[in-house]
Amino acid sequence: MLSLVTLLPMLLAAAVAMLPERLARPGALAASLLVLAISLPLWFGFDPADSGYQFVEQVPWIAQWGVSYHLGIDGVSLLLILLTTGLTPLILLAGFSGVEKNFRGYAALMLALEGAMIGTFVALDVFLFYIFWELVLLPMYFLIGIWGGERRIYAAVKLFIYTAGGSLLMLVALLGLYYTHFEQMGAWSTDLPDLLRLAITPASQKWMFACLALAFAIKVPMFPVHTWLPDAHVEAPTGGSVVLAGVMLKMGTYGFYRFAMPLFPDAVVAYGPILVGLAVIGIVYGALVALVQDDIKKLVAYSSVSHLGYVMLGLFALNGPGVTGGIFQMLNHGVSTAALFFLVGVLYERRHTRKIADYGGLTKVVPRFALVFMIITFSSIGLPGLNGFVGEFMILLGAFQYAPIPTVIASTGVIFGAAYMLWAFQRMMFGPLQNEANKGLKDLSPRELAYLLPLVAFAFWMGLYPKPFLDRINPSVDAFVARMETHFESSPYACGDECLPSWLAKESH
Amino acid sequence: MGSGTPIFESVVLAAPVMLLAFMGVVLMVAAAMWRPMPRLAFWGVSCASVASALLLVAAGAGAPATEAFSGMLRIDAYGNFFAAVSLLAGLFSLLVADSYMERIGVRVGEFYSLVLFALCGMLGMAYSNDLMMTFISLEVMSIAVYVLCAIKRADERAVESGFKYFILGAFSSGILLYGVAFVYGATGSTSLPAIAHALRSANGEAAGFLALGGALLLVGFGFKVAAVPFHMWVADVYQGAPTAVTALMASGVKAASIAAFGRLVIGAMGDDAANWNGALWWMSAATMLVGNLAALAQNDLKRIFAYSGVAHAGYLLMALSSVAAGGAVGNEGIGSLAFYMLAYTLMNAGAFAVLSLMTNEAGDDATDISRLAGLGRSHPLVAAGLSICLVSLAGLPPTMGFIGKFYLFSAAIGSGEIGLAFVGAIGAAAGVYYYLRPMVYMYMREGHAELATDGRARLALGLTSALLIIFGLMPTAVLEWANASMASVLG
Repeated sequence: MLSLVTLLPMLLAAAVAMLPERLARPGALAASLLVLAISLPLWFGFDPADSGYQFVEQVPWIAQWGVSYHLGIDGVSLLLILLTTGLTPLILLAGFSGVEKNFRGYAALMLALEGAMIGTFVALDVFLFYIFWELVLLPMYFLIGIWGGERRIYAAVKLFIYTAGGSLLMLVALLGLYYTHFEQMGAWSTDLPDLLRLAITPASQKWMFACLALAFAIKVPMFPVHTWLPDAHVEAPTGGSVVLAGVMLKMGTYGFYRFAMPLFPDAVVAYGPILVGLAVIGIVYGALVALVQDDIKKLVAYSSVSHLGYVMLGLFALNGPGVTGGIFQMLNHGVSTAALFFLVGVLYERRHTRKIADYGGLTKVVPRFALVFMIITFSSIGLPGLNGFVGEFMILLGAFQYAPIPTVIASTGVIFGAAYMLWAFQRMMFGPLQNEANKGLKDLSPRELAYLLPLVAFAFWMGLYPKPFLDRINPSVDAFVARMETHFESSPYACGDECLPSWLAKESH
Repeated sequence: MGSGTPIFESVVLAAPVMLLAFMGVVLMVAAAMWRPMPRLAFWGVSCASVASALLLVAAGAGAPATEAFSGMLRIDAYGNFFAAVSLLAGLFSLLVADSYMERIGVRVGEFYSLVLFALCGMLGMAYSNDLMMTFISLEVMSIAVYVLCAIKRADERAVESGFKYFILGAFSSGILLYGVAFVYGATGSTSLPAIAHALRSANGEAAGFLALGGALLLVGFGFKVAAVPFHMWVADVYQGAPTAVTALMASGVKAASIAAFGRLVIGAMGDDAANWNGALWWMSAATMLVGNLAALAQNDLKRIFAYSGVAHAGYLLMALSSVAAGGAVGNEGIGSLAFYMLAYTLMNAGAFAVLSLMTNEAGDDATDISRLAGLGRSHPLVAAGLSICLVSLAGLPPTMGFIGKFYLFSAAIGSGEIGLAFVGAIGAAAGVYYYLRPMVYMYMREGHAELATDGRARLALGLTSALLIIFGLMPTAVLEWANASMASVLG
């Protein structure tokens, strides 16, 4: 089942690459819808009460090294897979007009990317995970480098170098872990459940965690290794930006959740404050930089830095609400930022400019566009009733219990967030319609509505009735939090609450 | 220590070496008698000779390790592995050679004869169990390659390349021989097992001579594998030599030299190797960093691959350093050395096949990177093949290059060389940039890349890129083979 969802997009990518160009559009869309249809049974077949891995598949692969083809998902991976399979058809549909040359190649790379991203979410073997992690990079590199804007080559190479550099350090750390398993168990294994059983000395945990955290932080991206993101977003074609913000950034936070944190709990204790600090800086800094952008796409890009900062803050709160909120915020960001990039793409296709100053008073000419833009803006800034609120509220609730002062600073990000989004909305949508070129703008076409409305629907659903999502996230998060907590109490290196940094120390029971 | 194997049995055991030497002589004589040479006959005979030698090596794969020629050669799985790698390198460069040499206007039959002699020398180095044998084989190989570099006599750059390689190569051979002499003086033998025995029972009386000898050997081998700081010749020599020859130098010469170097570290130094690890460590670290950083600034593909070859020499030395460091799994270093050498040979062969295609019918063999612009559109299959080779060189999955890096790094970390693995990772991260550049030109820049219509070079590219993916996804069989070669030198 999981193999099918992972490998089918890659096979379909090869098939789409061979289609004649005139069949490429319907063919690619049909392929992505097929993948979506095949991934939906995961949602229904998933047992929310079970916190373990489900749909597990395990086959020996490189026997000498203890590497196996091991797949399995928990609630978090489930939702990220569905986010991926759900966004891909929308991206391809949006690409019908935006992608001018060689749609076939674009669609094939997008499908290959989809398969690789799903692979990172289902892999339970670190070797396999690493392969998928690196595989994601290649299609993204070509998507930006071939279909991107003027400085596309610079942006594509920058993205590649940043991520590949981090990945190589991750490889060294994973090898350290691999060798530790050999030392302690007398056998080679790269299987995640095997590795989770190891007792690793705090010193080793620190360097390994640092390597993994750097690799994942680059992907998230956390301040100060976020500088590739604005370039990549601005130069990427619309679909590339959507998939980058919608799914790829989550690979970083997912990496923390699935690998870096459970594997190295002692290092989380040691380095947690640093990461929380960087997350808070990211939140405020991202929001402030977004505030001064005159390019709407760059503004959305910096808002991602800010929003992903919330996710990291939630994960490192290490308690139920915080982590659940962090995971939920990953999905929210996938929905609302994807929609924002689509909307920017719609405007760009019509006017070929992304300068906020070139717009103004658009509500009068494109009312439907303005309405969708408004809903998504509210979703992004966390208005109650829409999805963003649920995630941000839970994160701040969770984080406040353990780190009140950083949380207070982080919550100013909510205000700045409202400021930059609403101000941009006001400058673009309200006011006098001065620019002659905007007077003839066409409103959203049925095709454009077809890929925007599902996202709007999800923004409402997740905001008004998040229970089905939270039900699937909670058991997995509880298991995660329990692992972190039991580790703090039972670890031979930890000495109880009095040794924990104040931000982690629980209130007396 | 001569085991007294009868001469006839020795000849049978060393059949691949004998075959290459014999066919080399045959072609040399034929080339003198037959002018102009019948191209296809020479090409076909040399390819058939190399392929037969490869089959002979494969046929002897399962046999237990045996010494031949009174202990001068040791026919074991380790030797077989590196012999096979050298022969593969030879075969791939022969695949591109015929059409390429015709295009650059060099029609001499001696070319094929020299390639066979060079391969004969390489096999001798891979099997050599005695420093004298290593030296003789090294010279057989090197002298053939000196001439091959300058085989396009009218071309200034080719002559410069050959001359530079000859002067520096002769100098380094002298240093190596001097090192052999000191080791002989200190241990009383040039045979690797005898040296190992002498080192075990030594009481430190000739330590100074031994250290000096070891240092000289390190310099000599360092030159041959193009390790920093003995790498200065690489870029000019690679650039000036005909592409088919460069391909052979980049992988075959390197495989043979690292095989002989490996035997010295594993077989002769034994426990003493740990004393040399400091030097190996620094050499490896410097080679990885300098190679990768120098390649960043190059615009000529041959120079890029020259420095990339330097960087990869650093990775191979990392494997030797793991062996020398010992630790619980230090010996895995030998397996990773073998595996990586094969991976490097395949990806290099593919890349050089494309370089040879860049030489057009008019014989213009400029390999500036900008000539790749637009290749993705005009020649999608060649571009895809080259991309696979580049991804593999960069060490990214799902290719054999990734499996090789994984193996190398895991052996290094397993033997406690975490710092070296970090240096390697940083070097590889820098390497990603220059391996991406050809892809940028091929797919992201407009241009009209033209390639020669040479089916055999395309075949070489197709084979290597397919193998890189296949062994990247299913490395088990090659790993077993590499492990067998590891076991055979430890026994």
